[in-house]
Amino acid sequence: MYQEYHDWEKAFKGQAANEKADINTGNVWNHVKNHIPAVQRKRNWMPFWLLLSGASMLVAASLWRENDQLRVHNNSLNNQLAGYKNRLLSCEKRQINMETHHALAASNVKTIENTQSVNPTKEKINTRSVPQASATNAFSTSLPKDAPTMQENSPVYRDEVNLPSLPITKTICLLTDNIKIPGISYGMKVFGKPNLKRNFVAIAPCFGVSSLRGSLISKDLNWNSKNLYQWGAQFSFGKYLSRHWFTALQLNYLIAQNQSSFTSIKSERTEVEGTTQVLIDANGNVKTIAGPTGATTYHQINATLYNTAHQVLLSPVLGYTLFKRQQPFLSVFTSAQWLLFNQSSGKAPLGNQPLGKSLVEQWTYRQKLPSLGLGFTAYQPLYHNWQLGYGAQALYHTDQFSSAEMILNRQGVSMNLYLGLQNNF
Amino acid sequence: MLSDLDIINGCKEGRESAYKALIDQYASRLMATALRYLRHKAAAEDAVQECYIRVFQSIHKYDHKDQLYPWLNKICVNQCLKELRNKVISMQPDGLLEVSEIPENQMPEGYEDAMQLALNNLPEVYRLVFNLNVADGYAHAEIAALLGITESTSRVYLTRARTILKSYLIKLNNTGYVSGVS
Repeated sequence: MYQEYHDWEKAFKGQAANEKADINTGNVWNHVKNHIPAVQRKRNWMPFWLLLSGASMLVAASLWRENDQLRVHNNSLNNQLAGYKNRLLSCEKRQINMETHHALAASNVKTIENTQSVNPTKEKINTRSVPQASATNAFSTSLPKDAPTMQENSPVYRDEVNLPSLPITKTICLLTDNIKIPGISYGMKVFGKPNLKRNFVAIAPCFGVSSLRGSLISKDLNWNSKNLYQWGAQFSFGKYLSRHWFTALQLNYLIAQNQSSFTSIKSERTEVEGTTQVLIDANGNVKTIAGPTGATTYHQINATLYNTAHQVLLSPVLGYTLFKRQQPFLSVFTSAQWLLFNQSSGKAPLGNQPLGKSLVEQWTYRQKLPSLGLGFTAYQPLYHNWQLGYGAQALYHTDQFSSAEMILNRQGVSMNLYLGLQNNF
Repeated sequence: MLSDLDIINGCKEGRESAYKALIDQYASRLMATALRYLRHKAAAEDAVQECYIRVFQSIHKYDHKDQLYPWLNKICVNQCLKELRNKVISMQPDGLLEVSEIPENQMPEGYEDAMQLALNNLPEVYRLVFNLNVADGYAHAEIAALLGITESTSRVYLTRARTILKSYLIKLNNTGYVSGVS
């Protein structure tokens, strides 16, 4: 008998799966065709992002151009300074020559004076007249025996020294070593080029709290959902656009803990045949009258449930870094986060519905808009190019739980703290 | 005949032919489901229409992971239960149905029809639990959530429904019906 029953139930199940019943589809179509929703235009963010990308590229290009111009200017100043250096060296050499000539001339005067004492008729020679040929004997302190007779009216000869018109003060960045010119100072300030790194990678565990919440209230349902806290890790790859500006791509893995409080109130009416009236007449006879009687029972289900969402997010970042002693000191940045992947485990958003295979597909979770964030990172040098980075980031989130029947929108702010390592290269 | 994917994409693009195909291909199966729960043709037709309205409103969120029919069927079942919630459902079953209670002129000729009649005459809540679990494959936890009862109550109701149907099967055999099921 039991086998017979099981066979029937099996047959009933098969029949139910493929059962069809007559229905006038034309009639159904006429009734429902007016409810076809207008095609919802999918929000096309492409123009916005193209515009943003274009603007970012323009900013990057202008910063690059400015940087390039500075480099050209720097090279130009460097060349100028190298020219000055050559001229100064030339000047120095000529100064030495002049001193030698003066020494030679003084020696000649002494010799001539000695000669004058013998022959006082000779006129005093102009001490400034130095023959060109004597320059070859600049370091000779003794006068040759056949020293030429100095002509009284011989032309005065000296090398013309043209000192360059150097600026009194000018800040010049040199790519080469500092130039040392002893005894001569032109008030130049010379700096070495900062040893800047162009790229960085960073990895940081993070932890944060959220005030992300939403409510759905109807006549028989009160559903509140909020994101309590999250933790995870973030990996960043960044590139400096200029000395201060940088852009980075950040990959975040977060484990977010959600709490749903659920209150459902359903009413049930129970009616049975029973005594509705009891009549007692004057003689004390009791008579009962039967009729439908019943009661309404209200069932209230309260539940507080938790589920965990594993999320992978991608964030482009634009930031500005302050340097101290050629090392990053503090960065401020802005970012936009896209949800790439979300997997929930635990209970379904709607209270006491378990995450059965048939229901898990019914609920969808999505980010309504990219999460926008602001944050800062402070750095402590560790070793070589490694730094300890720590900071905080605030993000504005909007997300949505939805099923075929209901939608719950949530929005709010989350705050993440992180501590990690950064390598500049 | 359009594939499920064509129908879904067509509906998402707002093509009327896709919406019409959705009705042509699945309305009869949904009607059978609605009849199983509501038992009245007019009410079942209304439920199917309401079901399609809800499908139209939410098909843009459909994510292709499920087959289309189970999703439609689930919405149809939810709609039927919503219709039933508006009526009075007795949570106190009336007791065992007696074969003799079915009028002579309504006694079906076939064995399976007789069992179907017995199923339709089960107390409402037993019948719902039986249909949800056996015909549509809902778990007891899901049934509990849908009907606002506890999971254990759902199990008890299913057991009782089966007991009644088995008893009815015995009575049928005693009254000379021959099983058509091998």
